[in-house]
Amino acid sequence: MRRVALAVAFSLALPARGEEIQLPQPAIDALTQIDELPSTAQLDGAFGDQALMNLQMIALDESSIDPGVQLRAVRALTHYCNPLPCSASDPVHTTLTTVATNPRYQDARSGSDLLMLRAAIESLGILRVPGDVTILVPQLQHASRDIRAATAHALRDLGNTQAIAALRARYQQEQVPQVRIAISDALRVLGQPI
Amino acid sequence: MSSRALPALVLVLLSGCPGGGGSVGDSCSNASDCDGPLQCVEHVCAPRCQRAPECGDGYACDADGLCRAATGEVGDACESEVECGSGLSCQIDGTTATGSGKLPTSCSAQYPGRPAGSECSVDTQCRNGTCALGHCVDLCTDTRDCGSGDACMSIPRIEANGVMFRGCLPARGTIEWTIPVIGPRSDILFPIPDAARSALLVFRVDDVAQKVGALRVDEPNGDPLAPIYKKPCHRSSPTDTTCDDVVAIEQYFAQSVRHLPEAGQSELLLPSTPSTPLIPGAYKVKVSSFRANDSAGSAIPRVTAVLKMDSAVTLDLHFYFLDLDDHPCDAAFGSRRLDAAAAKDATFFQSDFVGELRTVFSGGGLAIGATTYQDLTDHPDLDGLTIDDAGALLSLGAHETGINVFFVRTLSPVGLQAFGPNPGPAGVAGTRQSGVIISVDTLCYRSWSQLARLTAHELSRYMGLYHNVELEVAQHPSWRDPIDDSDASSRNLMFFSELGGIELSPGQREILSKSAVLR
Repeated sequence: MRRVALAVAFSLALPARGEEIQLPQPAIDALTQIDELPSTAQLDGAFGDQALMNLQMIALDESSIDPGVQLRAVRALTHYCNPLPCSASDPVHTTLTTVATNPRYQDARSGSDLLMLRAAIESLGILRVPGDVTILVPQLQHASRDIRAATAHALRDLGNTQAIAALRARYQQEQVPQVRIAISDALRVLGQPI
Repeated sequence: MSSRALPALVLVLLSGCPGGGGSVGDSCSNASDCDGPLQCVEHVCAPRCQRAPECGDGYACDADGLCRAATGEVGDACESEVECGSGLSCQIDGTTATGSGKLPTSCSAQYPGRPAGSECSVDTQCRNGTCALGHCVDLCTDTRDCGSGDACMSIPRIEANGVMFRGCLPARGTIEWTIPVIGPRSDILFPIPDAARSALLVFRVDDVAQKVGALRVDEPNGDPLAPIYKKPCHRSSPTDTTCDDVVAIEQYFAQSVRHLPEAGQSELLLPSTPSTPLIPGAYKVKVSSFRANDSAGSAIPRVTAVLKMDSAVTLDLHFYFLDLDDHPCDAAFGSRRLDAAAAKDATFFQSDFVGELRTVFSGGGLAIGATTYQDLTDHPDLDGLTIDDAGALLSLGAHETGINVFFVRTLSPVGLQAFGPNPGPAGVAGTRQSGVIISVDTLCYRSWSQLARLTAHELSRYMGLYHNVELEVAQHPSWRDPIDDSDASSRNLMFFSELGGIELSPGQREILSKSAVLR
């Protein structure tokens, strides 16, 4: 297996499938903090002017990156779309939609793959691209209560009232109090409280 | 002890005269009527004393264990409660030290108030006329003058601007009291007895939209031009050339006392480092509430003080479990529900998690003591926790000793593995910061022992340690903890990354051992 080193000065292309990504220590440090999320300044310090590309590479890797690092990279991508709401064509958005619609993650029922889906859903909510309703709404039916709750929060953050009908419908059948509360909160913010 | 009062003390009875035969409780006229080492006190055979209160009001207990009646009368000078006769107490008379540097004290009539150790806010609430650190205090010259569990120590007199006097306070555990604050920005005095090992202030305001904390802290008798803490600057506008984020952070790290006002609640812990030890006397603290832009707030802070009085090093942990049913990482706990009952028995929890915590903290000189387990299944809004709601969860932390540890399903933002105050409100339960939060979804990609390491890291922050270095230490060498002997190694327990080690320096161990969460 070829190894591709991510480094501050050179990381200009996404690795080909099967290539193993080696992270420089500053990147690992930035993306493994226990009680803080990396700030933009910290990410820039770790990756230099290639932070966005490196984070994309980490987020899209499917073989060699530590899941803990990858989760934080997905979340950290949201630092690199300014201003918000993000453009649908922005590379941050396209990367996150790629992760969120990856069947490996969408079909996951447990484990770190499910956490990746949750990370992508949460991040899409932050970007506030109205059209992401079509990506998020189906996740209200996900088998995982944590994904359903995260989706309700993301739809709340998205602010698109087109999600109201789907949220109401899910609320009617939802049995888990955690998710019902999340949906109720989303509907309240969207102006249609239960 | 007063030179006038001492000769007046009367030896009630000689002791040690064998052969009297009287047992405890038998009547006697002198010690020879009592058996063996017993003494005759008020015509009753009694055991030798260890503390004066065993002899009753108006008696001292001497070094031989004999009760001696006090003869101090109203107006007589005194130094200890045991020098004043029955119905009298030794009280502080003024707020100005005499030529000897001591406050004037004399025997005065007792108040119809509370006994020593009771809570109080003013002297007159106490039977013996002295209220300090929120508790009724008896004046003393020796620990024998104090009730069981108390010790005679030097205490700053707030009403006399910190002049020290000798009084009885608990020798073990913690002392907690409320310091009154009169306005949104006020100066308070924080009295530190000479026996205290650490001191904590918990600042709170009800309006969580406002921040609260200390603006400035001065040591007892410190140089007014050299406070030991000044709140870091705040950039007032984009054109402010005196302060930016980096300058503010530099100011924070440049100080040996680490503190930042926070929304709703914050803590100030002394000491933060062995190189700036706690000094007996009255610290002067300017406390304030703040608006979001750091201007003066309108909320009046509530201030709770906590002192650790002993060298106990046992850490109790109180585990709370939110609803972790059907968790995506349940492979780490046998694909079954993780709750209080399961955690009590499961090997992965007792051995891999609590066992690893024991190992980590034994390296820090601490022992894990009692562990308690409780389900919190009636808070579905907090199962998957958004960090903005952390205060609501932590306020459910009901234990004052030890640390409350909450296991939640998930933490948002994704990637946060743990959350807690730094430092936390040791000894104060039910506040917005009374515990630490651990996200169970970390177990999808880390082991129980790795979760234990990051939990120990967060618990240590609660107890007053800081990251040994911050991520940016290469660019900013001062961005590290205030402890001289902790290095920058990733092997340190306080390394910010989850991939760090469990080492602690002697200085870090010293700070840990002084936390008021320990018993």
